[in-house]
Amino acid sequence: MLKRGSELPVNDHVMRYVSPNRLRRDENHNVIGFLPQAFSLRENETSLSVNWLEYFGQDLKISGKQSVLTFRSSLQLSKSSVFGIARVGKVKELSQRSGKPVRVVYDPTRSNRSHSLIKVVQPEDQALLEAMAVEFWSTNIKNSGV
Amino acid sequence: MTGRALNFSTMTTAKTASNSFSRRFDPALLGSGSNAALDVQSRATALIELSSHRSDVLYAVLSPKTQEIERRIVNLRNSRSPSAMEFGGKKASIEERLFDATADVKILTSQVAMYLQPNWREKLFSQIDALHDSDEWDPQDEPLQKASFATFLKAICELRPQKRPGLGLSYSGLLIAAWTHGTNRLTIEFLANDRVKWVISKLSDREPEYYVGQTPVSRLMEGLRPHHPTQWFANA
Repeated sequence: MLKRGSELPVNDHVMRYVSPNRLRRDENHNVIGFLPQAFSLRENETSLSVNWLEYFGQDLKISGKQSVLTFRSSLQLSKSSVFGIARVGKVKELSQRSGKPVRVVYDPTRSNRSHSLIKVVQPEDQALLEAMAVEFWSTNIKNSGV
Repeated sequence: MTGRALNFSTMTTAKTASNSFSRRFDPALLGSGSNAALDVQSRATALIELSSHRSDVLYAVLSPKTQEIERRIVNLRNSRSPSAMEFGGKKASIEERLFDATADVKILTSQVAMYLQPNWREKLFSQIDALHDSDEWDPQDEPLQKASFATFLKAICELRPQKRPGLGLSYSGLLIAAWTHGTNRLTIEFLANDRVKWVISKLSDREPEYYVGQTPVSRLMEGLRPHHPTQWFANA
């Protein structure tokens, strides 16, 4: 098991919770992706919160479901929210290309042992946020489906 | 996403926005000769515009009754709603704040109603209702900011898109509009004071490219033009 502060392996995966108002929608309010703002930082945040999926095991189907249940036990989630999944190596690659490389580190909390952080996302880097929105949407799980 | 580096093009300008509303404001709307042709909405809008662009000469031609109506409209626009106030130290509930924010933006919309197709406005209201759905609300979020929505309305009146955007909200209550055409995406965030931040992502030779900008509303179309914005704004 990783120690707090260790970088996650590049072939492992992280999951990000996206609340309904940061979902990309079409004109009829159908969900078709994530908005870049889903990956921006709140005013009091310095890093982006994610869950490390391999903490729950290697089978992504099972670990994805476990991660959603953990999110539910530690956060107040909206019914129509969606979770996006990305490979750690891909997140690092995107940030490197935008010239501001990030680190993805293990940061367990008492209520969420899989909790990890993407450090440090530049809040004004709209292009990177947009790239992450596209990447995390490529594998997603709807909260209502678990 | 491998191969060549991301392509970033940034457009920023400090040039002051020209105000399309002020250009369209017609003091003649307030004259008595054409009163019969005016509907209530036009009169209210003209009065509100007058309050922003008032001159003593214009104000003097208004009857005392009209001046009183104008004063009330201005007070209504500037006053805080009852639920935004605190009674006995009790803060407004989330439901109350969402209700107030929804009411605020709907009133703002009614002021430019003549520039929007009725079904456009109807759908817009249902999108706002969905954004402020208290059952789905993230308690850490801020409701839609009136100043952001005013910028959105101004942009819509300038761009006149046939296709409505999907709407979202930033953590701090800034409105976000998204148009999607296949893999080509346009996302605009509406700031206060007629400014917008936008990001475009598209595939070029199967490689993603990103273009970002921050401009006044009046320069938005100029910033988007190289990216063929009709792909997002025109009906298919």
